[in-house]
Amino acid sequence: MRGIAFAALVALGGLLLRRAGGGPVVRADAREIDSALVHWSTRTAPAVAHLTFADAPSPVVRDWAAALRGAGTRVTWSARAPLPAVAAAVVPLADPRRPATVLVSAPAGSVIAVRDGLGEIDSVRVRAVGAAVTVPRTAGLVQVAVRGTAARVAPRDSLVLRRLLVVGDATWEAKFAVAALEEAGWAVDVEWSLAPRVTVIQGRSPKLPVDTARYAAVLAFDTVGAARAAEISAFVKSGGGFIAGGDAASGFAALLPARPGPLVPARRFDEDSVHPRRALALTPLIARSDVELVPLDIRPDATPGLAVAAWCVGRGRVVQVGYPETWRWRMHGADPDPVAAHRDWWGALVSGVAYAPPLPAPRAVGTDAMPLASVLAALGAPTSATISPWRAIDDPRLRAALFAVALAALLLEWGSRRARGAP
Amino acid sequence: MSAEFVFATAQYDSGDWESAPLLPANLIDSLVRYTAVAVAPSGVVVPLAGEALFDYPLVWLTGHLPVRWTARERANVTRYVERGGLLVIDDHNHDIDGVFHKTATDEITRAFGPLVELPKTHDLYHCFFDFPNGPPGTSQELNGWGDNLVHKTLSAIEREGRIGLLYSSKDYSSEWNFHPETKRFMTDDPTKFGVNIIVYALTR
Repeated sequence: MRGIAFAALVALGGLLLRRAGGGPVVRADAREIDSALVHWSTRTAPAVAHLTFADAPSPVVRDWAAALRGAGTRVTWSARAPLPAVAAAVVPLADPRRPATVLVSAPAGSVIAVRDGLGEIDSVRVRAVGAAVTVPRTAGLVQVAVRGTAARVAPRDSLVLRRLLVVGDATWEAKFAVAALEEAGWAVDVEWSLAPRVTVIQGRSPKLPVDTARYAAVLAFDTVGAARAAEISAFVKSGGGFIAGGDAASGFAALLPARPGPLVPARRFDEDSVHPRRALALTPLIARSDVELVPLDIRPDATPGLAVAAWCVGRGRVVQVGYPETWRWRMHGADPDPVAAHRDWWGALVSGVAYAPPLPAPRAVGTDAMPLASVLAALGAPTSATISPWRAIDDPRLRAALFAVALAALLLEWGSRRARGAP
Repeated sequence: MSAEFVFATAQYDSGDWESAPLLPANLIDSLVRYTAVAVAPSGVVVPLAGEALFDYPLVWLTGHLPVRWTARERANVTRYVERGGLLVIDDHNHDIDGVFHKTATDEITRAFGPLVELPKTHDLYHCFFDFPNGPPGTSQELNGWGDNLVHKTLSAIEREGRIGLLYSSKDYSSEWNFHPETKRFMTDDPTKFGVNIIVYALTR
């Protein structure tokens, strides 16, 4: 009995030493992980656990494994295939029809699929290090998936879009710009100056002060609105946007970053042209010496060729357009859809200058903008799967059994000695 | 760069497109008389089948004879309306049993589908001068010429909420086909509605 008890105690000591030295490794692979985490958390506490992921784990699995690690289990992980480094963010845009853009970072050449709570939105192949996908209104979380690894993001906030105000004469340029912006989803008020002391209002009455509480941007296509230049200037300095197109330059010189140069006449719209704006007439913009402007469109076929430029005035943004007749692009253009191209172009100009205060979105749950980075932060770098496998001697029940055997042998030894009257 | 409005009359292969030669000058005169819109002093004639059609987002088409568009004309008219142009077609016969009306409406239906009547509340009747009762009557209607009817409404093809093609059985081509100087003998200028059509085209 004494020998048996001694042997059992030696074996038990060996097992405890094995556990203290890193001990046995338990493993869970892909679909077993959920149940394994439950088991390790409620029934056994392995010294070392190794998880093998098929894709990036969900935030629940990742955080659970991290908690297990905090409880004393050494958790390691690896993946069947390298996890793609995908990250996503949803950025609001001042665009009524396409109010957000999804910015994605993903490995070059990978195909990303964008979806929301209602289904697929778009898919695109990444050329270099990322992509931007402009999306309509989304429902729930936006999910960006690359090879089974999905980043889940929610819009940080939305933008409050106010109305636009157009002031000026009734011209084709103003009419088609207004039409394009209305088709793009903007609510537009127009103050048409049609006759001396006769102003025709389209939309809401713009007689109210032009301020950022009512308007996102003001557009002028001629010098009629110059009488309100001071009011418009104050509007821009307080954050509003201003676009000068058509023949407006001379009426708003103080607000604009450039003066118009000599006219470059229009050309015939080429049937196979991929640069339709090069057929438009151009009054090239010549930058003022005292401003630092941002060129938005340069015509390489003209010298000077600056066609559209922007700059900041106070807290607002100003865009100057050197094309006096963009409406001809819409009527004449040979694009597949020049109406849409003209609409999108004007929409983008307005989105770039519009005053659009953010409206914070409620905090979303279940987001995971950077799955791989989150796993690395929670569980460390992946390890190779060379850790010694689990064996029967690692079963904790064996330790209990050895302890019971040693105890029983010692009790029997003690009982035997008492029965024999031995000391 | 000239931003002048230029009044354009459509020239088409079939029919007598030039049947109202004084109308352009009369409407140009009215535009100058009542508005500050910059306007070219004379109109132009623009072939319906040519690319120049797209230089003029408002074009007037009239005639007495059958209207049969060529394939090129039909394609151009369709593209013109889809891109935001406004084609005004006026029945110079003032006769819904006449050949112009039958053939023109047939061509329109083939190109765009059926015409839709414009309500009296439409912007066209209120965008400059106010016409609360819809399109103003013409002397042809009141004298019982043509189909002997007083047409209460105009019809249209709309795109994106805007009129792309306006059809009239009221024969404004006769009503407004007079020398502008004659207006000084009139108590009420009948071309005021023409100003509304031009202002509508320039602003909507």
